Amino acid sequence: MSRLSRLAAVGALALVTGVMSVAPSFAKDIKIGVLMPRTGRYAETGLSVVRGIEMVVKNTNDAGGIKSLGGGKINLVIADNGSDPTKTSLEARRLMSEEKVSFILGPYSTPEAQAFMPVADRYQVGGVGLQTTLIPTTPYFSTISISAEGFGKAYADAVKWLISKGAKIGTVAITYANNDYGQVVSKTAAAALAAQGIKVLESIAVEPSVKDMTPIVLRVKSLAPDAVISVVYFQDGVLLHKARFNLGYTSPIWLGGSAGFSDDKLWGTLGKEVAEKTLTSSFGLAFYSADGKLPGLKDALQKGTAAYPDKVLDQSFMFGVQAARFLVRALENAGTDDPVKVNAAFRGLKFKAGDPAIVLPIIPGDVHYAEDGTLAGTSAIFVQWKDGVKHTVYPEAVASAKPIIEGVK
Amino acid sequence: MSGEVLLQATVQGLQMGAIYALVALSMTLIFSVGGLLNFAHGDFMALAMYGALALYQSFALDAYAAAPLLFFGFFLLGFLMFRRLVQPVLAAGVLAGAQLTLGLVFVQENFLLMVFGGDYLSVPTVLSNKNLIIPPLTMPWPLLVGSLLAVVLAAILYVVLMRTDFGRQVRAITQNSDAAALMGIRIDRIQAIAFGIGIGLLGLTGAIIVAQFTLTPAMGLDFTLIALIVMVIGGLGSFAGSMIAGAIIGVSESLGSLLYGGTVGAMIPYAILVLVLLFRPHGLMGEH
Repeated sequence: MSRLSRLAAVGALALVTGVMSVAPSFAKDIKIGVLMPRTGRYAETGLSVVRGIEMVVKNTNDAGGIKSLGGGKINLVIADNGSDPTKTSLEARRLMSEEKVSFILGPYSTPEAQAFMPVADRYQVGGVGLQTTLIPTTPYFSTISISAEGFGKAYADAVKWLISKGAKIGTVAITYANNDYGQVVSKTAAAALAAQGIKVLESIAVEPSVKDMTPIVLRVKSLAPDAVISVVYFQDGVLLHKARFNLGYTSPIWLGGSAGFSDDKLWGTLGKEVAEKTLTSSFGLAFYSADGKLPGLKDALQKGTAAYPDKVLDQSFMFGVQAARFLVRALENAGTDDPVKVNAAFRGLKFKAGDPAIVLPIIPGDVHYAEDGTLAGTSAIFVQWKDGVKHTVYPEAVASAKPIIEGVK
Repeated sequence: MSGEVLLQATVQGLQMGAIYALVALSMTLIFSVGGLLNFAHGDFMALAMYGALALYQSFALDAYAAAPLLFFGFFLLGFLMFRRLVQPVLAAGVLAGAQLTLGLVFVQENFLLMVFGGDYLSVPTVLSNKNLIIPPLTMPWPLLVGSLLAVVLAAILYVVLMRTDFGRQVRAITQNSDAAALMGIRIDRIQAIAFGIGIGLLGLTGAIIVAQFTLTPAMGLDFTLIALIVMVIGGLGSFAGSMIAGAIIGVSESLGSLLYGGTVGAMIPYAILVLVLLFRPHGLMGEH
């Protein structure tokens, strides 16, 4: 090889190496934290959420990644908060300071969010809560749930709608889980009902760790209300329905939620006999029902069924899908992995009704983030069960079935 | 509030109280021979409930039919666990033993989570959703059977402890283990058997009351707490005390919830515990 040829070869090699070293920096991958319970009380919920997130991220990466980042891929760093607020705070700090993530999908519940927010504020890395019903106290935290106040108003609105359908409701009893969330829902619902001229006979606090709901149902029965609103979680909801069944007290119109009336596994856990007597005539507040008409929901169901044929695509899964789809849009808009800018892009999200990114039926129309980090434009749905399947009955704009109302033909 | 409603709540409370006492009985047995506070007590019962679920799912075996199997299985588990795990650790002191049982809480919870997942699960039995109706009372059969069994088991335990050689040996160890050893009683053997029976009773209890509860891996702690409260109020080591304390807690919790709401109802066991500790620190039936 001549000297000139050698020089040319070395030059070509240098050029190729140089190009190779430049190419990856154009397609910039982005690190995203996922902070969910994978052990502890909410483990199964957290695992379902993570499945939804992973599906969206895989679909996005397979489709060429984030376009505004030159096709950069999303790399998830998944952390387990053990369903515990203290661990949430520690893991959030680790994700932000050591893993250097650009945004965090999570945490899941309100107590976890309360522990998360000060850390997010300090490190200026954004996060999005899934079933967090509080109003964020930092610009670095947003939520995709409905606030506790929103739930309270939704119950009162549903009662008003039932009356318009012919139900005779003059008095209401409320039972609520005795924590921040339950207290706010109960107070808001009671105030809204009173404004409608409906008498709230009593608001009965129940500890979420209750082992037997029979005394509570007996107390409600002794009040003889026309309707009952029960703010319950899954386990106390199961105990409530069992107590109603055992005492044969199924006559008043019963509204409640969310998990204790609308969780996808509720019918199976109660068994057909109890579920038919209690759930079919009840109205369950829900975030999600598979009968929703949104194109984004149908797409998520189709892809979810293909990705996880042996898993139940429940509410938690859809929350994961929703959060991840919001983030993908925010990353496209941000065009950077700078946490502050990614968070600003997330807070700046706006969607038109029917946008394919929208999955949850609680987002029926145009939606955007309000100043306080809550989604403006959400509205709770109510479902009724029939033969183990949920049907949306309210609001009528998104309903797939007519309601069965106790005492109304 | 009508008399019928008060009566229904009282009976319901008595039945729940008997279940609490049933859980506390085995804790009392374990404590009385080794001085060990078993913080994994409720988790062993949760394990038994999941065992009943596994037997139902695999062999369609009803939980009531599975109860004797779970008793013997858990007896063996308890016996071996005492020999291989608890006894060596107890040599380092009761505090080390308590720490060991705290560790077992996390091991068992995560074991259940790995094997069964975190979903809420239920176990149907022949008595599920069936009620005994004696107007004006409605009594769920699973609760009724559980509460009757609690009374029977307490009676059997009493007879075993008061009328058999094994019982006399247990009592001798409880009163003075050094003197008992000098009299030729093999303390470690009696402790292992008592620990085995205690854990075995949890196997039995779990199967009997499984229809009443929804299963979740983290459910054990609540039962440990209530067993501890019942045992302390009744008097450490007193079986009759546990039965009485269970009834008091069950009825007061039920009537408290009925008359003043769920929060007051949930507060009552702790309030009673504080009062008992203040005015009768050795418990209702405990000895100085």
